Parts: sequence; structure tokens; C-alpha cells
Amino acid sequence: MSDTLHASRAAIGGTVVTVAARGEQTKRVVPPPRQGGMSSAQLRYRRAEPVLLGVLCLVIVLVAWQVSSDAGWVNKLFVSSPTSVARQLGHYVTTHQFWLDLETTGVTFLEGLGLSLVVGLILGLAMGFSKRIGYFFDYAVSLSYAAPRIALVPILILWFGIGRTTGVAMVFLLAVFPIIINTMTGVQNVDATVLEMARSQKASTVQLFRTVIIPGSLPSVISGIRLAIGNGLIGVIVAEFLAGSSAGLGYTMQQAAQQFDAAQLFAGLIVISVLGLIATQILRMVERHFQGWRTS
Amino acid sequence: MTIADTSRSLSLEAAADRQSLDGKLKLQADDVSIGYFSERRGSYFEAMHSLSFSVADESLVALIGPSGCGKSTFLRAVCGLLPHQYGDLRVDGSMVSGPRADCSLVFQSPALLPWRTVERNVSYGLELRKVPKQEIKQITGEMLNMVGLTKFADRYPHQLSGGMQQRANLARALANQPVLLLMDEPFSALDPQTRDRLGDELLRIRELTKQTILMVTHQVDEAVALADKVVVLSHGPGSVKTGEMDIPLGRGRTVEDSRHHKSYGSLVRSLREMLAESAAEEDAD
Repeated sequence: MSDTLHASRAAIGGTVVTVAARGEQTKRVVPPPRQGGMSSAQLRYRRAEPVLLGVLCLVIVLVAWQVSSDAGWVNKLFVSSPTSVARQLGHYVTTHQFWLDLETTGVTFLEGLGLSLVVGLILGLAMGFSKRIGYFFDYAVSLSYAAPRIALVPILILWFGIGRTTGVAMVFLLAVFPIIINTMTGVQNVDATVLEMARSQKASTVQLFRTVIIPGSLPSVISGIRLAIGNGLIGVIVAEFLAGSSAGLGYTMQQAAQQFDAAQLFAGLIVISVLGLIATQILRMVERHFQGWRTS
Repeated sequence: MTIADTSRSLSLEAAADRQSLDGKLKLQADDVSIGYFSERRGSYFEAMHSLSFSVADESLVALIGPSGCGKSTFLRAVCGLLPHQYGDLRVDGSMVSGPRADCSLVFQSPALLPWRTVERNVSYGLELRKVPKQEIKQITGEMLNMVGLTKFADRYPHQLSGGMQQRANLARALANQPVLLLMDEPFSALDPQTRDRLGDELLRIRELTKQTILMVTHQVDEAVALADKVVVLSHGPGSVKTGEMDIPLGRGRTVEDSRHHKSYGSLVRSLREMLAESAAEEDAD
């Protein structure tokens, strides 16, 4: 009996089912089936769909690239192909130059980002906290932020010469503004009542920052840092294109471009993207550590 | 003025002084005017003009008036968050001249720190004042118990209902064991049932702790149900006191008791009339 009941549930679902119980006909409302009538294979597909479709797009692009390159529709010299890029990447990561590039770019990027964090956080906190300091720096920051700072590379070369210092300066210039602006906005958007509450509890300025302003502005600060990471990577690569001396991912890509080595160019691009992903992922872990209360 | 009059007024002043020293009056406002530079208006804004009233020890005084009449501003001046321009403002006999720990403010919105658990929200003020850990734990436990949140000590604010958040807000203010508890429309964001329940809770806690309370509200019936004395303010800006009225409904009552008291209706009506009068004066201006 129970088997037939199950079968009819699955077949009809959510309707009145006639069941024979103790020999009499009774009508019972049966709830719709739990899985909304989907088989478990369908469910598994629906869960994987976002990833599957995303990957599908990448696969189509790669296949199209490979096919058009193999068929000679495009010039292999300029566009290379996924397989040669993969081969070049495999070779590149075993060379001494790769580790040198990675170190140079990584250290330049981290120094620039660290400097922007120190300056950006302090300035952003101050500008958000004190209206006067905010007014004082407002136009200067807005103007510099609006200017295309990448155009400053030539003058930076003039000042700092060819080498890593120019890179650090470029990373700083590109990364510091999103940190300043997001930190400032974050502080300004801290719940005014909560601030007042802390003041009424006699919080000192240091306590105010520690217990209310910094934790309250954290989400905004983190998204500022996320932007800064992206901008900073652009900064370090562009600086290396124009002012690299002997190593650096940007420098090596520039060299490759001069030798028509498209595969090496793409290999460099992949390494940079992976660096960006790693940095963003680390930031996400930091964010999760501090935002644990949101999900609990 | 005769010499006798002068000496009498002197002795009255002396009596008033003694009273404040005895701690009989937890709050004395004497000719207090409050104003501030309003960035929005770009000009000086006088919120409160020449307000005088007092809050006796262990009493619950309600401050009512139309919205925007500066009630909340006054509370902020009492706890020292805003300076007052003229007059004397004394809490427990001493002049107010900056944020003070012996006044606790219960905010209209719960104003809880979302990244702290309920327990650590309640202990917030104590932590700031570096009270020993053991003592913090004990006081916080008592307060949570008093407002019925012991079971929710480890929850975060966003996991609580509005009523429970407001209880935490109250517990945090009480944890400081303030001389004067200031409440800024504490129940206005709650639904009527929760409001009544919290009103009863407040009256019960107040009987338990003998806490002196000054509460701001714009609800006449809430003021009558809870308070021993109601002070009525006129429309802002520059609002003045229209009058005050004792609410002789007895201590240890519940909100429901008040509503069924025979003089409840007439008290509410006369307060409403008082409010309407001040509004009419405003319109005539």
C-alpha cells in the first residue's frame, strides 16, 4: 500500500489522492514531493550549472583560438595558441628568470601596496573622522584620483630612474586612492547612533577607533583594498614595461613582445592573473576572519 | 522687595542646595537653553529655550512634546554629549560639563555593535572603563538576567528580535549603574504588544533597582502609563516648557493597571490639551 501511495505522490504531487485504507475510500491531501519533482541527477546538474556554463565559455574561446591558430586563419606568430602557451608556461616556470621575475614583481607590488595601506588607511581614517581634515584634503584627493595617474610614469622615471623604485611609486599612486576613499567613506558611514552610544559610554578617541570606527568601516576598507590590489598590479606591470631593468614579469613580457614571442607574453599574463587571484583570495580569507559574526 | 523676602528667598536657595547635596534631586535643569551650529541650515539653531524642571530621586519623569521640539537634544545635553549654552544643568548635584559615566542613555534604535555578542554589548561600557574582568562578568550576568536575555548572551544582535535588541540596549545602560537613566523614545520602533511588555519590564526593573529615569516620548498614553511626572514641551525651534503634571497612579503598577485606573482618561486628555495648546500658540505666531 505504501508503495502505491509513494508512486502516486511522485506521479501527481500536491493534489488530493484517493487512498484505500482499511477497505474504505478516504481522501487525503498529499503535500507536493520534496524535490519539486526533480530527479537527483537533475538536482546535481542545477547545482553545478553556474560553474559548468562559466567553464563552457572558456572552453569555447580556447578551442576557437586553438582551431583558428592551427588552421592558419590567424597568424601564429602574433596570436600563438593555447597549447603553445601552455608549453611555454611549463618551460618558463622551470627557468631561473621566472623566479627572479616573480620576486622582483612580487616585492615591488608588496612594497607599493604596503606603503599605500599605511598612508591610505591613516589618511582615510583621519579624513573620515575629522570633518576639518576631510575638508582640507578633499580637493587634493579628488583631483589626484580623477587624473590618469598612469600618465605619471615618464615623470617617475625622471625622478627614480629605471628600476624598482619607479615600480613601487607607480603601485603606490594607483593603489593609495581607492584605499583612502573607501576608508573615508567607510568611516563616514559608521552608524551615527552607535558612535553617539560609544561617546555616551565615555569612550576615548582611541577606544572609539578600536571598538566602533575600525570594525564598522571594515567592509568598505576591504573593498578599497580589493580595488587597490587590481590597480597595484596594473601599476607594477606598466612600470616594468617602461622602466624595468633586468627582471620582472612586465619586463620579461616586454622583452618577449620585442622578440615576437606571443606564447611567452600570454604565459606572463597568466602568471600575473594568478598572482592577482592569490592576493584577492588572501584578502577574502582576512575578510572572512573579521566578518565571522555576519554568518553565525 | 523687603529684607524678609530676601532672606526667605536666600534660605530657599540654601534649602535647594542642601536638597541637591542630599541627592534628593537627580536632575536639576534651571533656565537651560541648548543650541548648536546646524550644518544643514548653515546657521545657529536654538533647540531648547529656558527650560527648568527637576527629576526627584527614584522617580520616573517623562518629557513629551511634538517631534522636533528638542527633547532628544536635551537628553544629549544632560549626558554631556552636547554643550548647553545658558543656565544650570546639574546631575546628582554636580554641573554637567562633558560626557559623564553616571548618566546612561538608552537610544531609540538599539545602537548595538553588530560584531559583538549580546553579552559583550551589555559589557561594552564596563570594558571601556576597564572594570576588572570578574566584576564585568558578574554585572553583565545580572543585567542579562534582569532583562531576560540570559539564554541569548552568545547571540549576535542581528539574530534577535527588535524587542530583544531593545532589552539589550536597556541592559547595557543599566550595567553602568547610572545615577540617572536617560531614555530616548526607547519603545517607539516596537509593535504595540512588545511596547507594552517592555513598558512593564521597565517598571518592574525600576522597582527592583530604584533607578531614577528621565524618558523622552511623543506618546501621551505611554507617558501616563509609565511616569510619575510628565513635563510638556512646546513646538521647536526654541521650544519652552508648557507645563508639567504629576501622574498619581501609584508605584509598582503595570501598564495595564494604569490604563484601567479611573483617572487615566482624564490625565491623558489634559496632557493632550496641553500639547494642543502649545501647538495652537505656535500656529498663531
